[in-house]
Amino acid sequence: MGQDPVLTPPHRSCLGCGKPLPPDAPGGNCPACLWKIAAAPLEDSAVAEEGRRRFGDYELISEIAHGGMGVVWRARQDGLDRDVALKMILAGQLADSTQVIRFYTEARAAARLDHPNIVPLYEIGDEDGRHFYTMRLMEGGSLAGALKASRRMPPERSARLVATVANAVHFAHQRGVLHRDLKPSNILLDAEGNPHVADFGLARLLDSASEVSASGMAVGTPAYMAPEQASGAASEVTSAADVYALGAVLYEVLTGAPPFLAETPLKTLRLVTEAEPVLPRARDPSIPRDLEVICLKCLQKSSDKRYASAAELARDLERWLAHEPILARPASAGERLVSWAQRKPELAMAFAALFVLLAVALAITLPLLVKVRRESDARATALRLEESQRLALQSLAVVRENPGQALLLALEAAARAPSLSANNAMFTALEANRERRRLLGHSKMVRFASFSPDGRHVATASHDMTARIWSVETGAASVILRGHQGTVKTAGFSPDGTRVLTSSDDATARIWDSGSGVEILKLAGHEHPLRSASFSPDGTRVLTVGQQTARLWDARSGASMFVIAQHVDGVSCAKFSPDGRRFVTGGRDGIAKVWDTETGSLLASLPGHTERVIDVAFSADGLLLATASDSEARVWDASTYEELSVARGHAHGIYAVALTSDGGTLATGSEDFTARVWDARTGRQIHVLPHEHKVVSVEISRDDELLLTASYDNSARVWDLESGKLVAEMRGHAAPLYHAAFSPDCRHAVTSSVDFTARLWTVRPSLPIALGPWGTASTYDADVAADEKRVVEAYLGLAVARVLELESRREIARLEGHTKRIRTVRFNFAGDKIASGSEDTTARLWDARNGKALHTMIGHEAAVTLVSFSPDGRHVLTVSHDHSARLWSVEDGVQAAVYQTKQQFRSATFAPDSDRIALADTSGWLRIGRISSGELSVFEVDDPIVCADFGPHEGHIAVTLGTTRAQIRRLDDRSVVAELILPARAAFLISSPDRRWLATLAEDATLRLWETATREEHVEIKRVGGRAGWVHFPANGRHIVVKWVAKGVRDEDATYEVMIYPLEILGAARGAKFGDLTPDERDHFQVGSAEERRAHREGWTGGHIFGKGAEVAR
Amino acid sequence: MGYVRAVMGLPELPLPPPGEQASRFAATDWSLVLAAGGTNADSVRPAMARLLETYWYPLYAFVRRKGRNPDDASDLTQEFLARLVERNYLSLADPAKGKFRTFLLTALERFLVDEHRRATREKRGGGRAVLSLSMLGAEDRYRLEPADTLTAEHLFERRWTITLLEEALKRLEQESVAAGRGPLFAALKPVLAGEQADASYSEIARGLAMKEGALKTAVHRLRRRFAAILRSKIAETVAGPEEVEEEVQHLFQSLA
Repeated sequence: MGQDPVLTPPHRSCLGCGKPLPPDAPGGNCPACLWKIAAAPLEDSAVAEEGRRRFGDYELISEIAHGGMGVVWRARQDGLDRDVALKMILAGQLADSTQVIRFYTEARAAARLDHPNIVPLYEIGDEDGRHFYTMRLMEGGSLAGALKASRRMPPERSARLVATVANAVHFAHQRGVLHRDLKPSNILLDAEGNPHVADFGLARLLDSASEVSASGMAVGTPAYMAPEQASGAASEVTSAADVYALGAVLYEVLTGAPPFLAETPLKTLRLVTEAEPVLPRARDPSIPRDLEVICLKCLQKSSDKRYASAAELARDLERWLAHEPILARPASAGERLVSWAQRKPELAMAFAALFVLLAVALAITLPLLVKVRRESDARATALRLEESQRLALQSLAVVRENPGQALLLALEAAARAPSLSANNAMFTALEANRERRRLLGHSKMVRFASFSPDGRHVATASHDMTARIWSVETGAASVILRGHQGTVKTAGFSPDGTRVLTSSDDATARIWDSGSGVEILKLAGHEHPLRSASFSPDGTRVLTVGQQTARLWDARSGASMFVIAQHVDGVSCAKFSPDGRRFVTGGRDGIAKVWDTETGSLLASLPGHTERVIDVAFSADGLLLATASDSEARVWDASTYEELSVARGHAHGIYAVALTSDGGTLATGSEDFTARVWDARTGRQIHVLPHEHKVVSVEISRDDELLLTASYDNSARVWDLESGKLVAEMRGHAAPLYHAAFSPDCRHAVTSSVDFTARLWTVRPSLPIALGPWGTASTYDADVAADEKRVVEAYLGLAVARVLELESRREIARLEGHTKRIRTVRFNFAGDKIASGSEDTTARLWDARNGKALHTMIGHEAAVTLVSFSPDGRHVLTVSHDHSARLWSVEDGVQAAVYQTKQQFRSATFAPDSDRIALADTSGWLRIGRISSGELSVFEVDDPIVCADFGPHEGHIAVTLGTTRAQIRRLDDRSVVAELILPARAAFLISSPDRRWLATLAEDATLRLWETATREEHVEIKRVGGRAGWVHFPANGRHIVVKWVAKGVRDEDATYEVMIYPLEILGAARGAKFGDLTPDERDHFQVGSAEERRAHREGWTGGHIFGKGAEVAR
Repeated sequence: MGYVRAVMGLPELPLPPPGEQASRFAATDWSLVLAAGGTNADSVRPAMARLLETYWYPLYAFVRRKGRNPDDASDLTQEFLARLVERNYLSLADPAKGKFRTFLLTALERFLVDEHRRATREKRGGGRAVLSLSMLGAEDRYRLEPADTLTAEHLFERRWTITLLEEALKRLEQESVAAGRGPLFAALKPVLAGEQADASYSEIARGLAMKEGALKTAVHRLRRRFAAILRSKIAETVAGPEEVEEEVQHLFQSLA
């Protein structure tokens, strides 16, 4: 926009060039000199600058190196007569607080490493917002520099060098520090040429930060990255990754090139995960065979096939140097192939499929892509593609640490261009990601979060003196509870969900209306900050824990009923028994006391602990009680108050205890970085479950199957209680967690963190499942039960169907009785019955639990091809090749109605009211029937109707016409409400049970899922080289079952693939809008242009991780 | 999850060579406009308008230097801008020589010729504002232009360059203020371009209660940032990253 002219006295002249300053000098500067700043190459102008020579307490002497992560200077510290290397992190590089925290954490860990071959770290700090660290100055430069000069090294020198480095790396590993980015440029040489490892834990951190910094460059070089790092697999990167990198360095010093190097980082990444390296001796036959063997052992794709430690590698190299036999054994070529197939069984299969079936590919196209303007100009497309690929790479780079963020990045990538890399990144992130919602809005740490009894809301408590209630569905805060004058410690719902109870440092507990957020009661009386407050199981009482006393209150009147002050030194915890008739308090005196809720009288004292009792827990049956103090937990009989067992084994204090519902198993979380599982009655330790930091909360799922642990290591983990196996890892928080809690159905969890957010997670993520064949018979039809745990399958050519556990594919029951091939199987909505249709002309009803035949429905005169239960479970509708559809009573299997047509019926569905039915036949007629009245009328429109289903709204019906259109029409006047345009002829259409989705199958072998509320297409799944058979929504409303016809037309020679896609994953893919990238993240990853980012920041009301700008959001 | 792997097994789309990645070129306003290929789609208008809002004054100066009086120049500039935004003038843009600056000048020259022909036939129908531009002060500003030594074309380029400098300076100021370094920027703004005697640095440092060394560092940092902003501003007006350098050198001549 027009600016006022800058009036400068004309007589002044430029101090730089001496020319007179023109009147329009911008900001009083000589334009030519100002322009020169930009005209000079950026880097060169920097070096010459006088002003650069000082940095805090350091005098900068000369620049040693600069790269993506920053500039390294030779510097001299004031007052100390030594030169150091000062590594300055590029300004803005650690812009986001996560990075800063990680930087300091890693740097502190690295600073503790005192080893002759590890470059010592002197100081870590920041100067004027610029982070830096100093380390010993190495005169010999880096190994990368040395290699540049000489390309490679003689075998003996190579072996000695890598052995020395490996010993140093092992030293760090023993102290729990991983390097994560070993490569020649991080191995520095002293004046004598001895190697020293630099930047432990830091290089990777900074490199990954730099790759998203100013230049927008992608991943530095993945050439030294272990496959588990490169693939971004959720598996933990361990010391084995460093062993791999050591092997890669050995490879390079021997051959002159890293094992994998392609023209692009992404290609290199793929080589690392998928290809075998060229044998070193193939590059240079003079390389000793044993060194090649050692090298390849390090480069094994599977980490357990590498050396078990860096020290073992060092020893094998030393053996070789001493001319002793080495321990590593070469792999044969056959082994290498086999190992490839084992490593990637799915991939190997997929490649086979590529040849046999032409192609197997699935593409999910996002609706966003549709919105992207069609552009003819190749350049703009290329630009978008480039940004898309950059974002996809960034997504891959962060997926291990932060799958949620990776998913958001991948979606941004996909929004820019539908590139293959975006697709890859999206699926990788979808596989790894368990984050479902970011609850952004608190401006300080979130102490506590818990679900409402119906699982639809979450209450959070924060240091920002508010508690908030969030909708699980949208992730938005519905109510903010304001009033506390201090940190809110806990927030929990009443058993009926109508009220929320909070406890605070302001010494009060408060009860709020959970709908309106209005404060109902203030429970004041404590003189110290509260630790917690909880409702009794019936919701009539409140138990609060302060520092000196615990108190019992009437939840309706707010009257104080009892004050428990009998603990010497005060109380530390308290809980109600499951029936609410007792409660237990844990004292700082090491004694737990049990009280009667009605009378307030002391029922028992449980002595034994010597330190304060930090947590107590009842079993759900109320029979056992566990107490934790210091590093041991005790289990008591809750009726006799006898001590049953002591769980000893934690190295440090326990923070939390939990018991299974029958009291059989005890779980503890401790500051010794582990959670442990014990036999509650004997105190025998069953499992040790590792975290990387203190475990601060433990919770056992209601079904006693899972254990949820939250840790200061920024993650929460879910374990199988019985096997001790890690079921899920929830990564994404940028700072330690305070607490984690299951949702009532245990499918989800909520975590609260120091990073100012609470987050919702999926405990068991849903992935597409392909239903394999039974023996040689491929699956022909299938349905998923409402409990989502069972599947019923019918097979091509078989008269037997089976009920299986969905996950384990363990057989539960066989449906035996049909005399000919079963064409179709369906569960009822309750999941306890199954209907089947067969070529033996009968339909049958079965008990889904044991496979017992209930009724045989006889009447059809040809094969029964479709069966469907009414939503209320009272009727079954069957369709047969005999040109009829029949209605049967489920109770007795008796035929209730027959509907005849001249052609065959193509679809037969129930309305949600279970009364109306829609029957479409192959000649284009649609009939709507009413079971109660027996009436049947033709629903006639201009075009023939191919397929129909009720919904999405009451009074509407969705139909496909014999064209590329699908329509939603009113049932009464047949007028068109909406039209869905498809690129190909729409053959099939069906509504989800909740009518939220409409699925169409078209002749382009593509399944499209439409959201009925918006009528927008959300996802399409394309089966390349095949065609769509049918699609079906199981009653649970969470899956979609699709049958693809891989090839062939007639059943006899066709190949079928039955896939179960979770709607959740599709939903996630269609936008995964469990959140949006915050403005900080957008800046960090340079998502969009600077202008777009600024506009986004200005319009952003979504809250921030670490709360920056949270006041705006309030 | 065979299908995911299967997708990964397909040929990868090529990434640009590493050298190009380093100077990644975001889809800037002008390249967006160009990319629309003259369709003048709704989506292009905001990008075009944004550019014009920044660079209208050089056009005005050009028209004035072509001998139009202030009122006519204002009308003509407005009319020209309106047509650019509303009509398909983009067909004049040659993506091969894709600088926004040269496009504008070519279009304006053609517009003035057409306008002249039309004006001889009919009375032009008054200025109409499609961009919310205030031409107020344009003439005051124009009066400060060097009186006689420059051709209209040369003046246009010089104005263009100065506009770029002003925009970059303004952005630098916004950034500094946002980072809480407003006072520092205010003190350093006048010395941004030139080398200063140590005396004046120490004077400024005293005023800001800073060490002189720290101040020099700050000056340096500010210059670097300024250069980066200026280059990004230029990038917005050219079609590809390879043209930024050329434009930097070209526009420097206009200041000579």
